[in-house]
Amino acid sequence: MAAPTTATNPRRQFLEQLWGDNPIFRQVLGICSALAVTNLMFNTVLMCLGLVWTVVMTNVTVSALRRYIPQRVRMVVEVLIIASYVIVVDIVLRARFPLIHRDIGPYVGLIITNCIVMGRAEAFAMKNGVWASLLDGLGAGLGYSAVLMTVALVREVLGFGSVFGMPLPARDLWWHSWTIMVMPPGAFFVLALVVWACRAYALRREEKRDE
Amino acid sequence: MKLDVNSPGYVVGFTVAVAAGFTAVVMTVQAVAWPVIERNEAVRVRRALVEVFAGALGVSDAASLNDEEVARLAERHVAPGPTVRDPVTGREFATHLATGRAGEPAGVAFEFVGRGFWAAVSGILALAPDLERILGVAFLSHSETPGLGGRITEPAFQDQFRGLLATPLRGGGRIVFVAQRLPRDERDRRFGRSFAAITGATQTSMAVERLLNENLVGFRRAWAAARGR
Amino acid sequence: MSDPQAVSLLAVLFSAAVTDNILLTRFLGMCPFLAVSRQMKSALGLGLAVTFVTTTTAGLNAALYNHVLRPLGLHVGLKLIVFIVVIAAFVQLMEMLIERVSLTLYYALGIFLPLITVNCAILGTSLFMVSKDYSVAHGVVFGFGSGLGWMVAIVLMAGIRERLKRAQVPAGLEGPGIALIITGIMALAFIGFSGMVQL
Repeated sequence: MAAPTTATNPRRQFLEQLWGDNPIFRQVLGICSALAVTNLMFNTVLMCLGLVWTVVMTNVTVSALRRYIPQRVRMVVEVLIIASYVIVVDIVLRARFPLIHRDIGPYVGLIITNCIVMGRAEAFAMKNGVWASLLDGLGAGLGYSAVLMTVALVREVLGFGSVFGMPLPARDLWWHSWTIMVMPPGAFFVLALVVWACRAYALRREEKRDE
Repeated sequence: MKLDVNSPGYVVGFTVAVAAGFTAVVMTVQAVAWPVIERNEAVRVRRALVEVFAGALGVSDAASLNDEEVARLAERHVAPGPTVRDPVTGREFATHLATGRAGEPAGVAFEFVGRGFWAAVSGILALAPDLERILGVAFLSHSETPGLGGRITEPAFQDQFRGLLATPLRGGGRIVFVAQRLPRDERDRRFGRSFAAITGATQTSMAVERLLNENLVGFRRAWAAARGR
Repeated sequence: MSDPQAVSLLAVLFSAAVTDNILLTRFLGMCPFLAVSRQMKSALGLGLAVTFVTTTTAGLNAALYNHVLRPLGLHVGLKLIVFIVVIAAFVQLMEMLIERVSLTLYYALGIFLPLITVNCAILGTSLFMVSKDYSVAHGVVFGFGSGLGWMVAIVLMAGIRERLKRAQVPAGLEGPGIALIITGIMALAFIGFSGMVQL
């Protein structure tokens, strides 16, 4: 788990969040939404867009205000900021994409409680400049999205036999509905496998570097 | 002037300022978007009404109609009805009355709200004019898991309710039944009253059974009371 | 909606803690669960902290919702923001308390102490409670049961993971990987409870 840092190199921070310190398989954050929303790739993309927006805007705002936020109320202030950005997303969805809002509405609200947003705000944005915080948030959001899209691909193909809602070719010939992939326990297993793959790869790269 | 970030006055002042500032931003966005949201809501309710009355109005595929056609049909054939009150629970039901081509009553629909697995589920249920059969169901809002319980809004799920019996069983309270496998024998007392659960979404399916029964029973009482029977 | 008065407090407690377990049935509160369940001591500490927060915030939120927001008609729009601000303020209070009482626990919990604020289990508890129309008394019991269920799950997990130290887990699976698999199996087991208590 990452210790709070004062990074000097914003670009390095972006890349760190993307892989080396990835929110899911390194920091273990944002798991709840990862389980619920990844049974359909379309919903996952929307969730990730909403999350990237929120984490970037929150990081930027918290970082800009960091010298003025009193220690005693910092959580309340952070939460207010996060909630405001999420509510804006919710209202925009409700107004412009009502059908999507009907289907994933409650999960938009869950972005408020997505540990990644609060986690990065607390661990990074409170102690670093605006540009670095922006890149940190962007890296964290995109790293999270990459893992989630992989999980969603596996779950939707196995559970629904489709990709982005489009049925796979010759589906009736070879696909059998694997319902556990649609339910949350399936998400645990697929996520575990993705985490395993990522970590094994990272470990092997480290070994090669030591040789 | 050096700002003492930790003085109590500053702490309170800052928190209030942040709260007020961000709340103002949110409320502005909300105010701007509100008319659009209300219009969307009205369109959705109209579409739901056309979908539930589709059979009675002679529409074969309600999902393929565009918004103007839906508005025209709704305007010509569906009108708001009285709000009736269930004397036992006190719950009120807003109703909509449908009329056929010749102006004859084609059905009555009521708006229902109930508790799903995660949070409230709301929708519209249409009954034949004699309240004997269900014409159709449309779920308007829910908080169920997308891809699982969320599939209650799919036409395949909602169409199951068309033609189900809407009268209570003798001696029992339930009207509709959720089933893993639909009964095939006509002598089974659940025949013609059952809908299939969504695989993997057992809790949501059971919740739908419960809330539909609650609302059907309550509406029948309310309608009877309004008719003075 | 069922008549809340008629529902026994014990049934509320049992369903919140076991059959409708906030973590293994509703899948809320996963992040700290996976990260802090390596050692029994910190798991127990976090479990107690979460239970304390769920119980009190459920009570506070029930009181606010039933006696302030509802009568003013603001309950739909402001519910989410009021609940989360109450939770945030309370967790801030608790952080200061823990820092004073046990510094080791404070450092063991690390980032996950402030993260209790956004622990979806706590916000979820308050939201479920109002969707079931509970009074303040039922709300407190529901909050307690919910937190207790979460604590039982994390303690179970810590027990399993401590035993796993002697097992040969592949290097890539160590940590969150194996924890996810174990949780998946526990969640499958809890599906057996579905529908047991209809409230």
